[in-house]
Amino acid sequence: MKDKIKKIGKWSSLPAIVLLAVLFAYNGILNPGFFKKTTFFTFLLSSTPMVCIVIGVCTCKIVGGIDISLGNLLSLINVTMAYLFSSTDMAAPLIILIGLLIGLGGGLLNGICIGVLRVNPLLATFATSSVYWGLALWIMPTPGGYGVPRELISFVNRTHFGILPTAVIALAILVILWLVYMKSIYGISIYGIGGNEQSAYVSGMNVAQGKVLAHVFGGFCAFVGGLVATGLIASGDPNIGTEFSLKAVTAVVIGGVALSGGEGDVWGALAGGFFLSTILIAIISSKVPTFAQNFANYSIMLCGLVLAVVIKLGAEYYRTRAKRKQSEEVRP
Amino acid sequence: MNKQALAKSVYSKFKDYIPAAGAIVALGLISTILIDGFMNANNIGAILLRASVLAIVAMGVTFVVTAGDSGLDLSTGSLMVVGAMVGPNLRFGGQESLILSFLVVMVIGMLIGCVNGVGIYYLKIPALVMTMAMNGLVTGFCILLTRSQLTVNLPAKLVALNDVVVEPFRKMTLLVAVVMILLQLMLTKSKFGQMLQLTGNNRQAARLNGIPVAAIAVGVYGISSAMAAVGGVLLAGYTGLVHIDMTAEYPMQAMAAVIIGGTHAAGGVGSFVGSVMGAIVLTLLNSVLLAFNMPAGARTFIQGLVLLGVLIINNRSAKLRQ
Repeated sequence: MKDKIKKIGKWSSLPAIVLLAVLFAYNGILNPGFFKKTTFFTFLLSSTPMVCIVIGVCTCKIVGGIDISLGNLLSLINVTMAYLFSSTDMAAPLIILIGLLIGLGGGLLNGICIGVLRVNPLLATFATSSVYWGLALWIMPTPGGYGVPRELISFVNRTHFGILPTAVIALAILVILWLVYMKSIYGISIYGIGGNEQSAYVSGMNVAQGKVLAHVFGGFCAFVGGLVATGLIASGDPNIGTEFSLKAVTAVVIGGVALSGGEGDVWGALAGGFFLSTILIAIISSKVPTFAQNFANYSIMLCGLVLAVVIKLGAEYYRTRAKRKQSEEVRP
Repeated sequence: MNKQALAKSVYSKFKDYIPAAGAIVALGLISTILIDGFMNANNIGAILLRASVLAIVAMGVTFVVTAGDSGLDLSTGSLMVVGAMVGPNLRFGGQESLILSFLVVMVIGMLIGCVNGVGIYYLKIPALVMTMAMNGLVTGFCILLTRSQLTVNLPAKLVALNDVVVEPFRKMTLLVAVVMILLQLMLTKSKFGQMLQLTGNNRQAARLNGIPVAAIAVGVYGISSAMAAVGGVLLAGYTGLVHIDMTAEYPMQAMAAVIIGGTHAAGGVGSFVGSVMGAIVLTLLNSVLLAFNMPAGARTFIQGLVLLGVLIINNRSAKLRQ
């Protein structure tokens, strides 16, 4: 039993989950309506696009890189689909397929620059984020494209089988894919590549392929998020995903995925993502005046970050101290 | 043998500048040939003026990137707003003083920047996340202080920086050029410059050599924010007004300018001349595309492609198979 507690204590995702629980409790106390079915489901749905990006960024980070272009890729997918829905007669499934191809293509571009051409991941995705954002702005300079079909809007906004909102379905698909992928031979290598690239290569892992696949998965996450977002806002907005990329990185760090890669899992990332989206609600519930909300939002984000990092440093400190104690006991 | 060695050393010294120099030449040719009336002193002067503001910010960020450890600073936008809000409004005993205004603004910037440095170096918060969070925090603080009502009382001396000294150079451009020369000399000739580059190259080795790595690692963020704040003052002088959103593009563009200018993202090798060249490339590219009537989205798209191209040419890591 003590071992099990120790194991959970070492779980990298734990700080994020605790932070999320605390914030949920705070929100629930201040604003009891928060946990009512409709309010909570709306909250889940509005957070889903960003959390999709968080899952994508988490995967890219575990493999030892990073991806800050996924938010803008989501915007591009959203804008393209909204434009095609409104200005052409293309069939809906074809438009959605195009969205999927854009997501996969964007992820592939990132993956090739990072995995094959070996460009620094931060800078490469920094450049590609301008590419995707520019394209989105070019296609639709101001929000528009109000021709999104009613079927898609209602599909995204309703609950299925009485209890499952689309948000949960979308995220569940991504999480399940992530889990399956990580248990597979491709996925296990991702932790190896993230942990120590040279060793992974020498052990025969295909480093380039691992990185490319991770970024393509990120692109797929952007597609799912973009689809949900399109149903949510029933239009196209070239700036809808702009903030997501950097916020997702924050969420992933809070979630315990090390910047160096090789550790962490999707649960911490999920918790971190929802933590960030709950902050603003908590701030509004606390009746903070409008002009101070931005400041409060980033202050709490920073506190969450510091907490998560300090907890991690503390855990490492205790681990090395325990190891040292162990080795001292062995040697009399 | 000697000639070959000389040629090789010259090449290795300047090869980092090739993308930026090439881009400037290419853009210059394109604009001269294809755009009527682009190449006149007034237009060039205006472009250089706009580039000067970006150049100051980019030079500050150069410190951070050179100091290594994948350093970067995305908080420069908010620091510019702080500078723009505070700097032009300062009067000393009823008098305007550009130098004192700059100094005050730099001190404020340095204090804020050191918060970044502490979070990144001591708490090991990734630079990307720390500086982005600080950017939001400082911007939120500015909104809090001013309730988004920004009034500014521009001192005449600041506005006078827009004046022409010798076509096409304006006072502000020459000011920035002098700063660039001083900083580049510092980097290559002074002890501090050497320490900075060694810190960026290999932190552990630098520590063992007695270099105050902690002070440098934290200090560069202070310097970056200080220079961004000065950039904000210059921006206010250039545009004549101040509002919260006006610096949104600068953090990304400053980073891009540093990379295009040949400073290595991993640190250890940096160039202030390069960063200024990178700033000129970006501003010139934007102006050329504007002259072709390209919409904002297309311009961002092409800038992204250009940066990606430079990265693929210049910034690739070593092959794993050795």
